[in-house]
Amino acid sequence: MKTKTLTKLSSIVATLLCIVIGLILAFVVLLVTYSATKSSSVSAITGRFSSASWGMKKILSLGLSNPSSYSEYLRRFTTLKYNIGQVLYYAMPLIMTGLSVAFAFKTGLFNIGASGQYLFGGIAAIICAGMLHLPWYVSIFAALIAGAIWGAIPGLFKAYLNINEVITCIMTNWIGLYLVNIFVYNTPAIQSLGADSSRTLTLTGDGIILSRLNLASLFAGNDNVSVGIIVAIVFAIVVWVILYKTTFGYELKACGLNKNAAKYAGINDKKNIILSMVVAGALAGVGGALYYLTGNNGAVYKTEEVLQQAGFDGISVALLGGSNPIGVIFSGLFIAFLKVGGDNLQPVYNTEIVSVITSTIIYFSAFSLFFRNLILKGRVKRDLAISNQSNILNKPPVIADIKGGEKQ
Amino acid sequence: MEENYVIEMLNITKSFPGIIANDNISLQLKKGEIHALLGENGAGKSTLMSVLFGLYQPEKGIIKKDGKEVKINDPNDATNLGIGMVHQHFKLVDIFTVLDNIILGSEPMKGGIFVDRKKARKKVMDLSEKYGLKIDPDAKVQDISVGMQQRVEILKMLYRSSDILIFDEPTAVLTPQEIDELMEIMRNFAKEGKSILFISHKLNEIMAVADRVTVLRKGKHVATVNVKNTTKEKLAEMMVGRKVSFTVDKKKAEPKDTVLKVDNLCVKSKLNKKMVNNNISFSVHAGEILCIAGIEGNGQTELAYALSGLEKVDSGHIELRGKDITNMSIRERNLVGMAHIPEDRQKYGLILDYPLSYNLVMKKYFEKKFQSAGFMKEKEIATYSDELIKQYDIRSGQGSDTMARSMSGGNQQKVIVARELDYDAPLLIAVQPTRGLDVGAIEYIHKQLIKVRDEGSAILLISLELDEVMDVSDRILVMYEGEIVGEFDPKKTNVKELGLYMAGAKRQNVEEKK
Repeated sequence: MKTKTLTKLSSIVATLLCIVIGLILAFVVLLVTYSATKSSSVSAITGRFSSASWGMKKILSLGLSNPSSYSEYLRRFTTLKYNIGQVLYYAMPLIMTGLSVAFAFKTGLFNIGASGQYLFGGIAAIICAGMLHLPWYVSIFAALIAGAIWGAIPGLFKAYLNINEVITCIMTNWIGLYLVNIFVYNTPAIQSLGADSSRTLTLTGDGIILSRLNLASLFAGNDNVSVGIIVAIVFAIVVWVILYKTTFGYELKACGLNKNAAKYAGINDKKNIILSMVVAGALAGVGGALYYLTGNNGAVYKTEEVLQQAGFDGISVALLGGSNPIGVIFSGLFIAFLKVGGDNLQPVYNTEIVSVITSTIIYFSAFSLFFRNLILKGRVKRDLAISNQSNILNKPPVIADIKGGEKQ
Repeated sequence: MEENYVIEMLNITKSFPGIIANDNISLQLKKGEIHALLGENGAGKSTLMSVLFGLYQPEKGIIKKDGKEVKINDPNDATNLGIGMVHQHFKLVDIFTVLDNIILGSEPMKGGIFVDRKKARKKVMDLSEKYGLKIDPDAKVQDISVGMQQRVEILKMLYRSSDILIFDEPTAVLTPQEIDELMEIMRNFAKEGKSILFISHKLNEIMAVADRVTVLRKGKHVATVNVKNTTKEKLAEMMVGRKVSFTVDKKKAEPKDTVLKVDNLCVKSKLNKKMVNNNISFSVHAGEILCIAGIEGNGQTELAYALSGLEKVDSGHIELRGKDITNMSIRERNLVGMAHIPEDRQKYGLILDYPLSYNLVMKKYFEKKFQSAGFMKEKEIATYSDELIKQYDIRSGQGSDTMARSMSGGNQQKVIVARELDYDAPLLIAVQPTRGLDVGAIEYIHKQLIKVRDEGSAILLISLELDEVMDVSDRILVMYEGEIVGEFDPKKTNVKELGLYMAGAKRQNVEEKK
């Protein structure tokens, strides 16, 4: 088997392995946290098990399970369609922040600042859409620029002062959060968008929020589904092309794989570090725009003293997707799927359990690299032995000789 | 048992998918002998030793210790049987002290929980004195020289009372003086009754120190002979399978225009601000090979970094083809006309997780030929890479798609040589281009260097191997403590004279010679 295909295959197998382990652990969490008082008819142990498996089924089937009649079936099917729409809606910003982190990973940088860049992009979009009433694509472009600027800062510090990007990223996350909060507090125009004392604001208006493309009818009237998911997938494909088809991607990956060799080859490592962070910031910024421009109840800006979770989820999405832009589409959808599925647990399990389960799986996503290396390790050793061996074989026929001898 | 063998490896067969790394190999080690294991890269030496050290399990064959069959399942078993190994790449904890590294894993305890460092120190220092293995027990490994690191590895074996010592290519990282010291130490071990397995492909060393030698080729046992009854040429023929010439055929150099001119170059060390290159001036002409000789750590590495642009210079000028390149970027220097075979092929020379084709276009990927509007022309890159692979006979599992990491050291070096020579630059800086390579590959690279010279390139060769310096160069400069202390014509000097200059015992007034 070719090494290339093997590497790809092993990444996929490793990721699936992580998901399975994560789900098993999630099941254990369900077992442990089940509160017996809520159902008293069955014995404690069986109750625990049946309830936990009910929970797992709920998560994995997006809330759908065992319809009793045809009408019930139709009703559930409608719910399913609606929920698939929710998955797409949740996935949108996750794919973008996942791409952001994955892109930086490829250059050997850890962009933990996606949260701040996401917020900067988000507020840029809110200004464009809410105050200037610009069309959504212009707002997305503005978010891209804002994210890029905020991402450039850690890049500049890394390139010229050799300050670890993780530290500057964490700082820019908080600085970004408070800058945006101050801005929202002090801008009446923003508050007039419906902001009350808690400074919550919502966007509305045709052409200003993301175009819904009549997709709602496909998803049982779920109007969270918009052109945004298509935008996210297009960005993933563009990032893939940049990384794997262009000289820019060649340079970026060279810097990430071996900084010294890249420098030796005449690649400007400083330039690439900055550009990598600029692109990563831009991607996260677009993620923020997609989220706020959806314009429904979910997508409101609240001034909070909590960093945007989407930025950190991006790390998990990138890890789970093996830092591959196409993989990120799927891992983003998967994590969104868990979130939606988890929402249906609520009558029996506490709301918080959803986050516990998601984070268990996310935690295990960090192991995907470990598993992949484990799978590859044995293989590479053998390959090395083979190539060592073939060095001294003068002509290909000799290989055949040895192989022939082996058969006898 | 008619003879007194401490270790017998009988009919060992170990295969990896698609290849038999060891095919029915037998090796018998006598008590108190130095037994060399000779073979090219990939001949199966390391696999055989890994079997003995318990890292691999053979499919067939048995291992006997003192005539009794033993099973070695892991390195702990090997250690318990008194087998110790010094690996080619040292296995030391950089931030631990020398003493802690030696006792790591078998620390003497005090009261069950505390390490008895006093006892350990005494034992280690006794061993160090007894065998003349000079160490500083309190220095951290990251601060000591490679030579001392090796002594630490040897002490690790002695500390564990090993009496069968495996040395895996121990001289690859040492200076000529350190090699002599090591040889002496090995002889002392043998006198003491310890048995030594010495893996090498350097014939001079085997002739100097070994009693018997086992030659492997392509995973098969070729012969086991007494060193006394053989010659270097015969061994080389057994190892490579054909006659090898040790002296390089070359015409007289015909130096033409000055290509590289270095003027009063000064470079300070980034670590301690010590001057590592002090007022260095020289020039290299088209059609000649200028060699810089010296013991490792006398500023050669820094000189190469300064010339190639990897590090900044503090003062002085570098002129390439009449252009001042002192402050140019690496890319600009390359475009003016500089190729560079770096000292450390894995750190600088290659991107190990890039395929062969990407490594071969590392300095050309941005040219019109290989990209249009920023998109890589994969087809052209593959065609170019296939051509180079054929032309330079690079052996790899999957051609252009092979990951550089999965290739052997010799072939990795060939990739770099192919890339740099095909760059067709008027100046080639080659730093230790044959380090760690076997006879066949060295012969090949020397021939290539001379070919490039005859085609009119200027070559600056920086080497620690005096044989190489004497064989290949047209002019020799000796560097000592960051200064050039002498200039020689290889035809009018000898290794001994160079050695005196390299050790700082003598110096010419170079200014005067100009």
